[in-house]
Amino acid sequence: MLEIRNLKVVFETDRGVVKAVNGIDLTLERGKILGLVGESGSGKSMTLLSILRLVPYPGKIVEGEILFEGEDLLKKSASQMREIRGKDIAMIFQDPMTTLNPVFPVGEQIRESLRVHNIIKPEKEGILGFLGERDRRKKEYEKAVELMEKVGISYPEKRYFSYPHQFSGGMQQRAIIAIALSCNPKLLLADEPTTALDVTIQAQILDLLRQINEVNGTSIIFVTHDLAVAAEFCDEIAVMYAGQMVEKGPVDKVIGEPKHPYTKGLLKSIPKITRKKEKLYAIPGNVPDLASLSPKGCPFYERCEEAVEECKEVELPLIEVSDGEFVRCIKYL
Amino acid sequence: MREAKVLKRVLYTIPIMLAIAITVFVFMRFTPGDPVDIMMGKESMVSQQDIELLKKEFNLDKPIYTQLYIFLTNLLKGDLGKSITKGVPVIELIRETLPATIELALAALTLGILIGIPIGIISAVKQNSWLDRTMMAISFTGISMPSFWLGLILILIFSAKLNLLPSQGRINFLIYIPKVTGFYTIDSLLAGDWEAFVSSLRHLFLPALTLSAPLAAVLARVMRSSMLEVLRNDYVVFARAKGVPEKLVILKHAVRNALIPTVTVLGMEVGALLGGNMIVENVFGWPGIGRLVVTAIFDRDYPLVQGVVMFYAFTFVMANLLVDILYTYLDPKIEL
Repeated sequence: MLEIRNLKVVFETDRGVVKAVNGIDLTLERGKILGLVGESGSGKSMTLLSILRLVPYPGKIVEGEILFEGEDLLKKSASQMREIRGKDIAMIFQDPMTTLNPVFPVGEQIRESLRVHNIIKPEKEGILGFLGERDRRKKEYEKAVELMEKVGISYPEKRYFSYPHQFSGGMQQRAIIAIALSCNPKLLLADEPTTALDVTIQAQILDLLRQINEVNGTSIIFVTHDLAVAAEFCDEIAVMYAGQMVEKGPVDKVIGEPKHPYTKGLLKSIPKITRKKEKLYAIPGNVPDLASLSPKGCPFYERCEEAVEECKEVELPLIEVSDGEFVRCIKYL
Repeated sequence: MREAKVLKRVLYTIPIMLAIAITVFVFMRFTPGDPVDIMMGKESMVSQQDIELLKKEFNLDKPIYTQLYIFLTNLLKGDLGKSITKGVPVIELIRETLPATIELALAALTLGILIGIPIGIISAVKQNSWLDRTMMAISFTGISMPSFWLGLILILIFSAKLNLLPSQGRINFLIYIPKVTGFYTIDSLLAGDWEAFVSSLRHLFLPALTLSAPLAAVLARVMRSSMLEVLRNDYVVFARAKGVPEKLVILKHAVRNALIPTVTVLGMEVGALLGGNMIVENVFGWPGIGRLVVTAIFDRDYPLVQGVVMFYAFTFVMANLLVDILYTYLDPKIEL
């Protein structure tokens, strides 16, 4: 249902052109959950925002195709794109505390998405539309309350009129999910939806997302920097580093038998309760500065423990190592 | 609950008003010159006895602390005293000139909001475009230009050179309209006198524009910067991701949030509007409170100056209270 080909997003800054997303290829089938994993600044969020064509200024999509149900989103007009946003493709954000507009009641914000996509049709078209307005509002209110109930907000009729600051973080994220679900989207983009929440709430939100995936058949792209969460939640995993895909494949392959040194490093740095008194592993070095990154060779070269001299020079494609499993590393050439 | 809090805030204003009363009293006495001397100075026919008599009538022969005591106790009774030079109760003079001032201030406030806020919104949305740069350059001029100078320039262009608009007064002096509210624009409409209405609007335009210029400029700049900040917020991106049309993203989601800091500034600017009207009323011969108080200061008319300043202070305090109440509607997180 979604296919991204050779997507490139650049930011033109004073210090030069930053390639935030540098040639990403992705496919997502209907009803699947794809995990997009990587450190901060690896281009995960930009990839998601590109799908909705909401890359913030001064960034822009310079190359590639984003095929959604066979049609290239990058060729759509602004108004066609607006209709797709929220209706066919919905997005939820990392920090629920800042995602809801603080000056409008939560329920009204859910009702707004029903309204902008005309989910409850007005009885009369055109200038006579206002005649059925009260009735339409009432139906929208009922639908919004139903959505709130569905995502697990208790006393929805009362909470409808609450303001975002009167909700806890977990409740806010539920309300945001209710907004995302309001038009029954085919694809849900989830940008670290649990990062800002504490662990018990995290599990509840993940359960809710899985339920949506199973019941509605909604495909999900789940961005996270937490491999453990991704392993538990996703069907497929794609690991990103410095705007590139370094490894992708079915979850058991990527987690079970990681191929790329970066993926191995990420997996090793997950703390385990069983290993006591051991120093926690960390990948040496820092995420490279995208503005000063050498255009040639492997971007992970500087930090890689298995690097060889050629890594500095070689331009690598994604190499298929087994069925559906790809890796971008010289060792598998 | 809200009513109780509003009442509490109103009670808080009492000590503030008291402090202002003492300050203005003391400062007026520090100014060299004496009202009776100034009034009588040019007339050599006045006897020393007459002067003594006049001073006695206005309690000027008593020690300063007694005068202060009399002033404060009268104030508590709601009595602002009698003007020395005009011999009329101060409250009477205020009542007479107030409609002119309010009419001018409201017109300036409306113009300021109507000009300033849209400019701020457009500037922020078109950030760094030539439109933004031009409007910000103009608003910077608006802030830095003294209003007496702007007023004179406008008179020079629109009255003297182009002969389009009148430069003095509130209405063509040949026109008479029955006094109902004291607002000439409204009174002329009530009288059904179209000609008078047009005349009063034409008289109102230049002084209102002059008075609104700094207000519009400040509002434009504050609105622009708070819009720019709001537009960076997640909830704006989220609104777009919901499929909300861009126009609504700006006018509903962003503007509602950006208005919160702008309203604070608006409250403070009402004070500037009061200060500005003294100058503007004098430049345009507008018979309002501003002109009244400036004349009173030159005449050392103590009761009149004190009365008008108390009135200004009261208006200012009330405007700020109003802003605080307005706040609770704009920002659900704020309580009084």
